[in-house]
Amino acid sequence: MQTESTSSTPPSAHGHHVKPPAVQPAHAGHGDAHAAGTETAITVRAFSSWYGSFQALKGLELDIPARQVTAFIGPSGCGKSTFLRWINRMNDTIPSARAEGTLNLHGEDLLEKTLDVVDLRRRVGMVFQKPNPFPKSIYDNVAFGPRLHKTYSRAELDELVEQSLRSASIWNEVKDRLHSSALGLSGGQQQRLCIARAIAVGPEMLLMDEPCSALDPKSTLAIEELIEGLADRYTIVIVTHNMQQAARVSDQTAFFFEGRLIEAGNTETIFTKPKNKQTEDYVTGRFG
Amino acid sequence: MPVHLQSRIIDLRRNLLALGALVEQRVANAVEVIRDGDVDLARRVRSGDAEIDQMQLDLENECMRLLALGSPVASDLRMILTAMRVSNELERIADMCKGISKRVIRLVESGTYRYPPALVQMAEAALAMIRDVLVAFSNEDIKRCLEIRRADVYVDNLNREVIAWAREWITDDVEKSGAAIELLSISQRVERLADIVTAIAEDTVFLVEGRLVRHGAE
Amino acid sequence: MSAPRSAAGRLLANRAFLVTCLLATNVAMLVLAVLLISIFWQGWDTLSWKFITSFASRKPSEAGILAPLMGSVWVCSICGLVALPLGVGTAVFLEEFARKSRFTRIVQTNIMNLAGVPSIVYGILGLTAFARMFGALGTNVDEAITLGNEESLLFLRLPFGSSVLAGGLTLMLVILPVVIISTQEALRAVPGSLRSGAFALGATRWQTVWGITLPAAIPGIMTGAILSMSRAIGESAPLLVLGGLLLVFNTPENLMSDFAILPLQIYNWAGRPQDDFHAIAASAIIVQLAVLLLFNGVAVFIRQKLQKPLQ
Repeated sequence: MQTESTSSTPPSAHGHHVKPPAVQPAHAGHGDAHAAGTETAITVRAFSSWYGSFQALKGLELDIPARQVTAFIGPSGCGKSTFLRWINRMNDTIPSARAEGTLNLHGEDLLEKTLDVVDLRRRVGMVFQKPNPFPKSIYDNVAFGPRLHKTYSRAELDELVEQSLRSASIWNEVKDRLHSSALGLSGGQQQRLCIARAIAVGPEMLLMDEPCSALDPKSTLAIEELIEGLADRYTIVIVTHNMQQAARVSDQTAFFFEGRLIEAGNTETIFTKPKNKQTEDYVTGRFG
Repeated sequence: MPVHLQSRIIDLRRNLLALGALVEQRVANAVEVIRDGDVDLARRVRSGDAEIDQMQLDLENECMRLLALGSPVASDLRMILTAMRVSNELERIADMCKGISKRVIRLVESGTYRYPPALVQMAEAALAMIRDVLVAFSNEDIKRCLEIRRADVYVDNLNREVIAWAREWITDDVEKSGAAIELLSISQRVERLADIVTAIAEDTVFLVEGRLVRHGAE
Repeated sequence: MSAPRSAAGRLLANRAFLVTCLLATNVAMLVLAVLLISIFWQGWDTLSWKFITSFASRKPSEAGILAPLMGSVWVCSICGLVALPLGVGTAVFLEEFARKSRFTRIVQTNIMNLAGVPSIVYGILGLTAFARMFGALGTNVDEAITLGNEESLLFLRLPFGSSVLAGGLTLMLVILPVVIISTQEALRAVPGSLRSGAFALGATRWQTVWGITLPAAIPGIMTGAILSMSRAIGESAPLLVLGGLLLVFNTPENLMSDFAILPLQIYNWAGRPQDDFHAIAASAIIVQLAVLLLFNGVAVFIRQKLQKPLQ
């Protein structure tokens, strides 16, 4: 991850892991991902956006690496959620929203008017702050996404649903009631269902907008462990208000303030020795 | 980190410096003891450790509390970690002074107290070092820290002179080998004291810049 | 200078309000009960299977309501079958697809105004547009276009004349604004988070509406449908204008048949001086209530069926 100034962090520096790896399909650990070459997923240059005449984002410069967890932190209203929603063009639903600059996903310009937004959203999934399962069965929730894009046989769909629910660490809890209503699940389960739903369409990237802020600590922990497990296969960007969560879960952190990107870098650096005084004040809780 | 915990970190720093001042006084006393063979002073140094131990313990407990309760990051985290290390190191320095005093008493009471000028120079250098490091810590002065490391080399060299002198002493008068060994024990403690002060200087660099400079790194 | 409010005073006010509400409810229920009881008392004796299956007659003892009953069923069915898709479609377009512009605001305002127009106006409109087709396609007795045979099921005639089709379409005009508005409300009640969830998975607007928004709005839409149909069944003025008070002696055979409707037959009989006619008017009212219940029952059934997958 680059910003205006680069520090001489040794190449093997990586996001720390306080917990041993959760019970997940074997993953190599983030250190290996980092050392294996940092491929950039999202490139941002001179990116600004407006809602009508109000400028929400000002001249962002950022590289988001592939298959790592990047956290966006910053006080309320600093633009981190707005920026997140540009990555999968969800801001298109707001008529007064517009953007300028460069926002590329593997070199593809995401701001182009003729971009196939539907396909983009298949490749870049999103999980929202408040779990929003559809008022359908658990099975139909997960199957909804895939069915939009392709026709599947019953067997294929069953397999896909099971895999997605397994990846979201919720299969064992729901495998006996796949056809009951999703609304009967607890908050933490619903959020994991939403993650399974997002995974089912086979994205390469997951955007998470404060996914744990509506959940209790136990569910939050479960989701954080899930994120660590998913980070091998997906590029994950997570917006969070919770500094400790950003520190626990991410490899890279970007600090936003009043529409600007103040500092971005290794999470370890941001939380042990940030370069910018504003960043220091924010992470130590002296403001915001 | 909430405001009330932030002010506790400020208090932590102040208490650490207070401990440092106490220990500095001990080292000054130890220099006198070495130079003058003052047995009364030596006895006072030996017995005055309880206060320092208690202060160190309090500091360490406070650090643990702040770590557990405050989830400190960045400069707060570095201050707390440094306070833990440095308080420990100061306590060890006080211990060295105690050991020095004990051996001087023994030598003086057995009438065999002799020493080369190099020993006093070492002790005075060590005292200057600890004074410097406390100032450097207080002012967050990196340059001063690096100079302290150089002073340590100077102390090491003086130590070699003392060893050479002791060897000669033994060769001249084999009866006095016991006393010579005791004297070496004293100089070794002074040398170790200087090493510990150097460690404090390295901790200060970590506090200010967030990088570890142990084992000769710049 | 503020003064504390006494707890006793507040409790008293609370009780008073509770009592008032109970009173209002009970009065309403009482009125309803009185109406129902008086109707049933008046009309129960003359209600019989013969009554339901015979045609009108000059003698009250032999008169039946088969023609108006079937006429109502036909007209209301046509009305429902046209109004619901048209209304839901319009509401979906306005809520989910159209960009909010001056045009849509004008359309919206007009729809709300139309909901309040007296239904007889629609009767006149229906007469002109459907029954007579502005005189452009011949007259009632000299039709311009005729397709098929008058006796068979598939018979079409332009202009429509005073047929069940014209009647159904006229009624449709009456209830369409209500259907549109209540469907819009039902769509608005679907949380935006569900739509966002669907978009985020790569759904097009159409896929979102069809797969998520409409199914979630069904209860509200059906409620609106029930209310609209209840109104349609009881409408008499527009169909009067259209020519529904004809003395008919057959049930409708195809879309072009003449028709009579229950409300008008009730009006007819209730207006006669003889008490016997009043009695059978009351019986007819009972039948009308039954038809109303039937239509509502169908709508509720549909609503249940569509909600069932969620349990």
